[in-house]
Amino acid sequence: MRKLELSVCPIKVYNTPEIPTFEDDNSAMLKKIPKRWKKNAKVIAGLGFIGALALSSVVRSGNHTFPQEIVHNLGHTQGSYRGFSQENLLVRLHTGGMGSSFYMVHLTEQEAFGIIRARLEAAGLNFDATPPPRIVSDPTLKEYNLSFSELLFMGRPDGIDFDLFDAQNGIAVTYVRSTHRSFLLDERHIARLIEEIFAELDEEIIVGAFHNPGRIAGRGAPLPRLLRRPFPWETAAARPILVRQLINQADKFIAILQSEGILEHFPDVDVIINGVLFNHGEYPLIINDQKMVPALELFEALGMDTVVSDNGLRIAITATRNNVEIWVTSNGSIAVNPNVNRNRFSDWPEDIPMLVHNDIVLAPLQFVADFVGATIEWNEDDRILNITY
Amino acid sequence: MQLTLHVTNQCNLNCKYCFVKRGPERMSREIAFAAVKLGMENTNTSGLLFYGGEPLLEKELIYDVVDYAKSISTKTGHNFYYKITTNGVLLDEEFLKFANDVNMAIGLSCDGPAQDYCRSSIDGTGSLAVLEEKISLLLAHHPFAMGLSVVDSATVDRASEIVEYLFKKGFRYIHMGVNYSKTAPWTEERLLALEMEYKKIAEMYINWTRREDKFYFSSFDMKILSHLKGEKYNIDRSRMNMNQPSVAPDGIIYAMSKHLNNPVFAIGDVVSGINKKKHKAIYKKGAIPTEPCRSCAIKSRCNYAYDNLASSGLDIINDVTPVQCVHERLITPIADYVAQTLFKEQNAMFTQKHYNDLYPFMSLLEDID
Repeated sequence: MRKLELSVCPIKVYNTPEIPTFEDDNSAMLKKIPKRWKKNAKVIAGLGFIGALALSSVVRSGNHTFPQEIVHNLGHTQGSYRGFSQENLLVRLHTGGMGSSFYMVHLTEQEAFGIIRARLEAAGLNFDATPPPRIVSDPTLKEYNLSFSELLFMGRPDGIDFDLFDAQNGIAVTYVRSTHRSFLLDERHIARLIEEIFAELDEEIIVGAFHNPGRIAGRGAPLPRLLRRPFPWETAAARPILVRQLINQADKFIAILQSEGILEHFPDVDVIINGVLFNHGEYPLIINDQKMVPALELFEALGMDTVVSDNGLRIAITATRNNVEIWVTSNGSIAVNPNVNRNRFSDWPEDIPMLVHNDIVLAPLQFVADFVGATIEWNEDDRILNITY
Repeated sequence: MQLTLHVTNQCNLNCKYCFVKRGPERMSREIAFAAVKLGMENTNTSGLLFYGGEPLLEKELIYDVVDYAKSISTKTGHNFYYKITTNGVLLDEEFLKFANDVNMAIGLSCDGPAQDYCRSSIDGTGSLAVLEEKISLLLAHHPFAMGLSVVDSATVDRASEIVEYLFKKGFRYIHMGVNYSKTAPWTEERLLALEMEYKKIAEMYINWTRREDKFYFSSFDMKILSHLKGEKYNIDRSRMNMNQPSVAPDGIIYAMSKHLNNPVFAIGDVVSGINKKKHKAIYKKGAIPTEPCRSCAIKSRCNYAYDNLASSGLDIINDVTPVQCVHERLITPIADYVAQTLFKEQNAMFTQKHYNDLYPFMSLLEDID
């Protein structure tokens, strides 16, 4: 009988099977289809449909970035591509199960990029200059403790380029497109990684990385447009939240630029609430004409009942007075009357900032004061904001 | 994020290899609802996997949680998907219709011919007789339900029978795990028996594929995938695992189900949220194989070289056990043999299943009535 070594014993040489991997071009062998498919009219129709889309270049062929996930992982994890009725086929394709490969687009890249750009320009940045051909090389990235996988799945193994450049202030913007995403790292993660890299680099320019949060549950390869188009009601529900998330991305970057003195400071104002000078923190942050002040101090100065829940993971501040309830957290979530609907922003306009800066939750002074029904008087000559409530 | 909700620690069976510590704990509505909300954070699609103990002991809670999630979907547009892993004893028409309505994926634990030995009732009697009726009922409603089996050292000689049993019963998605717990000591002889069984299953796999049957067998399909994906295979698995924390009945969140109630793996609670730093730190421990696995030629294909985490006191270690190592050395060439055989035959079912981006779509089209 064969003997087994019952120990942890690394294999020195292994004969790799002689079959292609996903790295290879496998398109030729896929021309042969199972007999059972040939007998199925729906499958034949589907193949024709896909073929037509491929011919019209809507579908990328030979891209093996996502499907095997579905075949294997949905099976492995009892995922959800099985057992659909015809009616919910598209919905299920959109929403998928764990490891879904089909994503829908609530905001196009152009829209998302436009929102970011407009917000940054409104804060005083000027992007007329041509972006520098900046490339962060692979070895440089590796110096910053990025794992091989992170480099590989950033989709930019050759480096990072810029989309916008403010030459006067030395500020570069890179926008992470959906084509950079992979199953492992979505645009948000990639943007974070890029910011981390440049924060570590001792460079003269400051880099902001942004992404479109308006895509969900997916991986790189685009599918036929028909399949990734969301239903109108889905977009209607998602869009306000996504726009807010985009604005929040831009505002966080603006706050950094202001606090570090890179972006021109706005003249500060003195704030008096109920006759008392309000201590409004370290930096004169003014975003979209809203003076950003520490939320807790503001709520208390306005005489609101505040409850702070600090559990070591997230600080949540709930402020109530009369019929108004505002709930903010140190991870940047906002809700108005959160017990009614935690993710509802309709009472909080999308262009009104709300951000966490240097671990302090900052709220927009004028908006909050107005929202709770306080009286606001502005003295232009002395630059004093007088609030009574 | 997909949260595994351990809705109860109670169970109506007494499986040999269950990693959940049996107890009276049940999840309250408040905890479950808070978990639903937590899972929604930073995403537009989240999953809920109902797990236990035996989750069907808490059917009413499951109904309530799904209703609650549906109400959130209506208000916010957030998408939920649902799954359940059950021993099947309490499956009934009402629940299966409900599961159909909400597109809940069902995984049924069943060891077929080894069921009575491995998954006995609390009073020690076998459970297969009851389960056979339930399997028919389940597959009538959910033809794509998954059969989940476990190979034990004591029943290893029947592994191929288990797979065949599940296949003949009508399961087309078959998962087979291995019981590595200390209750099931593996010897050289038992492992060689497992190798023989894998070879028998390999022949079945090849024959079924030649017949153009549509099926999924986790042990081989994942191993073949590990070759196709190369380095990405384990990275993907790790990310996937990290995205699936578990919630205990008391609301404490753990990085992985198998370490439920182990404080070293606690990463938060449903009210406070997840401590992302700790969560990430735990998985970072499993991101790199430890010695001597680093030099292994099949480490990128090994299911245990990465994220095979355990606690040692307050530390977290990532160690492959000797039995796991032998298992991987046994199964990898067998799975490769299967793949190579079918590939050389230019078997269209094989190539479409493993290489075609749109195979899931075509599969769906076939399944539509």
